[in-house]
Amino acid sequence: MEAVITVFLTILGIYFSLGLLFGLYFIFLGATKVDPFMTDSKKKVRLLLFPGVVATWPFLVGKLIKPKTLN
Amino acid sequence: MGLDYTLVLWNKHKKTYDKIIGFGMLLYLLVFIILTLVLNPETTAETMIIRAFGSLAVLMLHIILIIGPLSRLNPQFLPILYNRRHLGVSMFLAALVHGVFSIIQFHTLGNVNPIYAVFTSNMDYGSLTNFPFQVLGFLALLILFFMASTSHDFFLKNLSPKIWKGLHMMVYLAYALIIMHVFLGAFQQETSPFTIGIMVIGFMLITSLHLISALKESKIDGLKSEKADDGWLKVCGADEIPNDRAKIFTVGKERVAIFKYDGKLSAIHNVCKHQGGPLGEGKIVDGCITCPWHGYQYLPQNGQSPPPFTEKVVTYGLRLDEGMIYINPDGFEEGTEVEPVKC
Amino acid sequence: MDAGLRKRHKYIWLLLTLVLSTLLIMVIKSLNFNPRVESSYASEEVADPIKEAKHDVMDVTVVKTVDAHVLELNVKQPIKSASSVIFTLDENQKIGQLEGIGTYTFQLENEISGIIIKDVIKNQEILKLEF
Repeated sequence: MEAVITVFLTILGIYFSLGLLFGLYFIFLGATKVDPFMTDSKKKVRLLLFPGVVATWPFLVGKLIKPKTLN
Repeated sequence: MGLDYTLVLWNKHKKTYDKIIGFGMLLYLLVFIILTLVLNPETTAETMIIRAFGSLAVLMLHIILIIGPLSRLNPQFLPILYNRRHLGVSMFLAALVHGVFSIIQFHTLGNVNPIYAVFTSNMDYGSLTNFPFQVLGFLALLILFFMASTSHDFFLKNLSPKIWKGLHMMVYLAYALIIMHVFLGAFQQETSPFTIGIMVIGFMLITSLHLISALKESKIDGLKSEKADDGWLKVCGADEIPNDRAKIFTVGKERVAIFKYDGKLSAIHNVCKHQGGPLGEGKIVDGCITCPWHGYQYLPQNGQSPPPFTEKVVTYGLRLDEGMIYINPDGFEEGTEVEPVKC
Repeated sequence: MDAGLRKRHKYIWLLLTLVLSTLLIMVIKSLNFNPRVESSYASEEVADPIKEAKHDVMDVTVVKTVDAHVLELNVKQPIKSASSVIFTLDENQKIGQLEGIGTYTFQLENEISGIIIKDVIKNQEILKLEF
């Protein structure tokens, strides 16, 4: 059981550490690349979105990598 | 609906709503603290905070979970549904205070990482009644964090509505975890029939409301309209629909809203692309079908949001025969232009 | 909600109702309800203290009444732990919970040779008293 717990918590830790890194990138640079509507948004909005970006970073990274469509 | 993202799209209604949430939370905490001081003056401040915020979060979760079925059973409850988001985020904050204080109080004394200690201080994973209830609370808090942190239209759009909705339906799993967390945790120490009674009543209330509203919806879904020879469905008389309003019908498996405006009839899928609001319960405002939930708009003749917005819903063909409306149950592609029927 | 989502909600709630009620019934059944005994016995002469233990934090007495054994605790100092649950020394059976200073009485199923007070959240022993 302890092995399962250690693996689970390690994965969780890595997930959120990477999320933090991506979150910082998002706040300072990446926001407008993920969503062009972010151009005019204030810093406060990016801070508000920060925890969610940390939580869901794999989806947002996916959006960055995917080739842009006309939509 | 906005082209730019703001902190919160404030309006008067939302501000009143938030004041009620804030005031209600404060009042609950105050009453809890006073009652504890009177009935149980030995309780330490940390224990009081843990219990006050924990029970507050559980109470708020119950309110959140009954809003949905209540408003499906009685539209009078709809105003509480519109801004459920803020209630959810506030509930998460209360749960977070409970979680952080619990971890500090119970798991920071040793030399083990406190989160690791949450999982390992009690290893009785095989037992039902002695199961480590803290783990259940931790996992529920994790789910609530994912939900609260993505409670913004930015995520609804960028994660895609499907993933977003799936993520937010995890609240049911969180609810199950929390019920077990409270049952096993509080009651491993305090086998009081009173507290168990309250929790059981809450559980029965939530599940029965959800099941009743689900049965009601299934019944509506099962309603069949009369079929004409060509497969079109006869739904109602044109005069039964009020001006600038709609009537909702079950067509195949889906619900369709037929709107009447400027002496014309148009039919679109009843579900708003934003958060699934019932478009047929909305009105025509400035020539656009306006969702009653968050004001997303669609043009009745093609189901498209007016530019620069890009939302599109399925449209349906209609015909009028001796004052009766017939609808083609096979919808068109989302956003297809359909000539409105004159009436 | 569209048709698929309505269906998902319906099945999720049917499942939740089934699973949670089964679990809750199982938990309630195995939780031991030991209601505190009304203190009326104290004035009756049939009460007969048979075992005693004294400590800085609390005095413990086991009293024999006509038809039962009763554990009486007099907690004299505030208990620091948020969760203080009393167990029997013999079979580690749960007797009840302590909330703070005061007198507690619990009915016992049979005679005991001592009690252990544990913090069940930290899984630590707080106090052990043998008669």
